[in-house]
Amino acid sequence: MLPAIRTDGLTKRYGRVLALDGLALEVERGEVFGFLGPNGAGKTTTIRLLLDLIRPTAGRASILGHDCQRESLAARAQVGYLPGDLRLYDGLTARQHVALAARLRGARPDWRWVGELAERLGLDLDRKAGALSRGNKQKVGILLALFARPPVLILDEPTSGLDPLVQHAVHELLVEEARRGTAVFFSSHVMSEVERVCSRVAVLHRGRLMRIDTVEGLRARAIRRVRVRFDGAVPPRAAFDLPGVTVRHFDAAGAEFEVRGDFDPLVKALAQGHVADLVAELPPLEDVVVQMYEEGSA
Amino acid sequence: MRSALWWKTFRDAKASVGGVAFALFAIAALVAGLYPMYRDQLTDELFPEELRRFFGDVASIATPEGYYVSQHFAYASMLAAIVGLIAGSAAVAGEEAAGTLDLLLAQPVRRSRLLLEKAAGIGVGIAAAALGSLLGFLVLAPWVDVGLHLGPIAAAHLHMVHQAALFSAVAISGSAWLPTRAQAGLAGAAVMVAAWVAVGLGATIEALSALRDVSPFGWVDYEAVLRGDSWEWRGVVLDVVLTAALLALACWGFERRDIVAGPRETGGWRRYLVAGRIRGNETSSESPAAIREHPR
Repeated sequence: MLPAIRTDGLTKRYGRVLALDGLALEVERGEVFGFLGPNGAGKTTTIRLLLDLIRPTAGRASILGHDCQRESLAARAQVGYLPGDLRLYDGLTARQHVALAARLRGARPDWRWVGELAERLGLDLDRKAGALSRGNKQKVGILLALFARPPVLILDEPTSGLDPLVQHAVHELLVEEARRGTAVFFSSHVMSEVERVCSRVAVLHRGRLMRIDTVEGLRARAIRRVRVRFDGAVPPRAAFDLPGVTVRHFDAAGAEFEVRGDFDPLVKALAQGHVADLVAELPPLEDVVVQMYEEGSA
Repeated sequence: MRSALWWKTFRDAKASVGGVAFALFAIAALVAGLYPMYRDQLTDELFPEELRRFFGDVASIATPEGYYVSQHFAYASMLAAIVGLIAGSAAVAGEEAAGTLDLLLAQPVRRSRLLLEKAAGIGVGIAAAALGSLLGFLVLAPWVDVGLHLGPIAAAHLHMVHQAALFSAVAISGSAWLPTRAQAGLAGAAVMVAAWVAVGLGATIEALSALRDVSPFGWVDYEAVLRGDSWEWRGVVLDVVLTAALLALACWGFERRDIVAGPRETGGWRRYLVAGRIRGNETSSESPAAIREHPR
């Protein structure tokens, strides 16, 4: 089956500035894919390339097999999009925005579904956008991305400006859409929401893809903290001079280590004593990603 | 219809269209209403020939057609063109600068279709402004002797529409190539003013008479049209062909270029040069500044 989104060596250069450098990734149908990176990492550039708003310097991108540049119309017909810096027409209501977008798509909106979405988001469809708060404008943007039930959703920071209750409603919607087979590709700075809804994550830094993995996979590869309590036999301190293991604390009662990579050498060293208790903490995704950014910067 | 893009474009320009239509209506009604009073006093000695030639290229002010061209059509055609310029400059660059273009282009719609639908909306706006002027004559015609038949007056208004459409196409073309409304408007206004000055100089200075032929304002002889002598086919064909060519150029340029991301408050050539280098990254989270922080 064709991937929902595929990029291959996707590159965008602005003069001397390389905004995106050979991005290669695949997003499958039915998955919520998080796209992470600090400001200027190339997230928005990638999204704009997928939507054919800008043209690549090299490489290619496709949506459900349609080339994003050569078959741009067919590709965009599969996509619901929420821009990161959403701007609406102040004189139009949410309902009129949907009608305009539907007309451009050449389709009639399913007003029952639109009404259901509006209800779940707590949005008044008949208020002009100019009179809406930032959060309510963001709801209109989400409505515009979802109303046509496209097979691919591309969302640039979808919960920005929303209160926690609505954020929760949006997460539920995205997960439901993914269960229906929709591919959800979204960028976010909020790691807790990425952890909650994403099945896989790509981390971008300075235009380069640093890693693609599941959330658990990313966390598992990060530095983990291990606390051990000894009872009786204590292994020699020298046994822990191991690659990837840093001893933070060590005495007869217990020890604390930071482990990068495989646990096996540590477990074998610990086996030389009697371990009464062992706690291995997976770090929060935020720490993992910050750690990756720092490594990337270094 | 209400969700069509051409209708929305027309509605977006309603303030400028409505204002100009009302102004043209009032001026037309005033000029036509005053005509019976001045008819017998109008002589060519009132205005030196150079002045008559510069403002409207009028042969004689003593005739009804000369009176109406010098007092109304010379300015009305300019005002209709200004409506076209204002709406035309907003067509793409206005949307792009406001950050709303992404909403439209995220849909499966060709950029050229979007541009042509907007051009159609602007055309309707220009026609509405010209209709305001025509209504000024029509309202007065049953009550006063305006000195002309309504057929030629309507024909002159049709010429006004295709002339203004050409200038709007200049602005639309600028709008499709340049990322801010100010730049597009400035480019269109520069062309319009140059055309207006060219026809004035061409009409008054013998050595520069060729300028009348290169200015769109010189392609329609409103005096002849109002006399009922002719339908200015040359002007119609030139305006229509050039309008079509400019729109084709606009589509070509718009289809090829990157769309600048996010809203921008100001324009300026320096800004454009920066935007040209760093298009596609001007969002709050991924600004050009942010990218420049990480030169490679």
